[in-house]
Amino acid sequence: MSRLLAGDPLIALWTVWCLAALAALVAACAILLLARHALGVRRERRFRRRVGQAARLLAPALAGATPAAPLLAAARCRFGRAVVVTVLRRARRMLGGEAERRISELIEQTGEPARLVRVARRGALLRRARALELLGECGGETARRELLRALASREALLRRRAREALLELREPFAVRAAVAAFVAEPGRSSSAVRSFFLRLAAWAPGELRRLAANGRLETRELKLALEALAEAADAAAAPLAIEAVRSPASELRAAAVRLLAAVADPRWTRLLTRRLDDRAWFVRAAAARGLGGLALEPHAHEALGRRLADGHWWVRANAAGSLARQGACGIRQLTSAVRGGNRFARQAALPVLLRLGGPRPGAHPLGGRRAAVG
Amino acid sequence: MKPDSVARAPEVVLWEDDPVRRPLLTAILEGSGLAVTAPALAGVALERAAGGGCRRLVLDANVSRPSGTEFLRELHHRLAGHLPPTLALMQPGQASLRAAVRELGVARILPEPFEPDELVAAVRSLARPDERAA
Repeated sequence: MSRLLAGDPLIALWTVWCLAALAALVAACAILLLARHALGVRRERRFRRRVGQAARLLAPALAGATPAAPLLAAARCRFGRAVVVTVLRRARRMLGGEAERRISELIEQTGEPARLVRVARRGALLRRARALELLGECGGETARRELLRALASREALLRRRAREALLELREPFAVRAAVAAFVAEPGRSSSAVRSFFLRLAAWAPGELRRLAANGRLETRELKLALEALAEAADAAAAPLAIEAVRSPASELRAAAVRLLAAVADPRWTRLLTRRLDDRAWFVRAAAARGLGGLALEPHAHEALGRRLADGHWWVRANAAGSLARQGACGIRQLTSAVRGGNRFARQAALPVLLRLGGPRPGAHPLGGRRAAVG
Repeated sequence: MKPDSVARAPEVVLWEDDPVRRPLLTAILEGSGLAVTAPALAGVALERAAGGGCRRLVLDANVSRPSGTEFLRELHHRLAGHLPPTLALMQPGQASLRAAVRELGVARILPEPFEPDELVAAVRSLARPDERAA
């Protein structure tokens, strides 16, 4: 210790040498990481470029204009299996009916589903989950069989991916199997439920309606189902929403109001207008926002006008935005609010009227964040 | 050289940023005798769509940078609100996006997945006001 304190030249030299070695090691690691990243980016760009080239080559065959077999063979020879399969999978996502079946058969011919089945059965969990996801995009018999098998997996993640991938097959039997597996799944997380319902509402809204109507969903899940049906603007789900609007659960009422607003059917205008007086502020906000997309009668304009003085700013903002979308009648309500004695109503109406001077076409007068809430 | 039917057909401008979907959509539309321009860059697509030769516009509403709605807004701005008859391709669901593109003047929305014939029929059903009058 005394030698170190005294500044022994040997120790100093040793310290400098250690620090230099450490710095060189860090620099080498950084260079390696950068090189790896650069190589990865380059490889990715090259892959994307080749996918584009293969798509141009295969497009006439995928569109059904020319026989597929010779072009597919040529594309495989030139670009390799991975590139060709990527093109086929993406094309399958876009096309339906006969074209979809034809593409699924082409994918089957490449041997990709069989390879994915092998990946899905062993190895790292995330890799297996990704393989199941890709099997859903491939379609066809091999994929269906493996996905049905994965529904009984011991891993919750694999079961979830298998259910979602079965929906991607867009076949009634696969959809029903996925729904049955979903119902039997213990301890469903909100994110899993939301993700499943959004897919189900998009591909098979009827199945989701049936699931929501049979009373086996918890309130939290029923709300997510209504939200998913609202995202799909499923008009046939209106009876479900009308029932949910009377629910004692305010979250459910808000989801039902959003669904009725998304359907944008004038028959539900009166129902939505009544929800402007709901005891929960977010139900009132949803109703105020939803009414903006409908052609309203004077009594609804007046009801929206009254909400400009609501106790919650979000309701006021949505009411002002919706009135702005109603043309002259709405503007009259906003103008009278600006001239009136209520400070809240004035503050809600004035910025909207100012923005109406030069609105962007289609933009909600209150912008993205506020507009998204109702 | 293009066949006569293609050369005389009204021009369709296609805006799709996906390198797989763009040639596929082009092949489907050209296969039915429509003359298609499908630029890879949004700026070029905007210029073509805003140019006088564009009789129909087909766009994927789910494109990114710029988004489908941003593209339509810019076109609105350039054409002072007189959008050519437009068909938007969309994934199923997406009610909010559907409402947004409707408000921006999109004449028709075709949800995916669709059959090639459905796409062609939807594009052919788009008609400019002057074509409708004729």
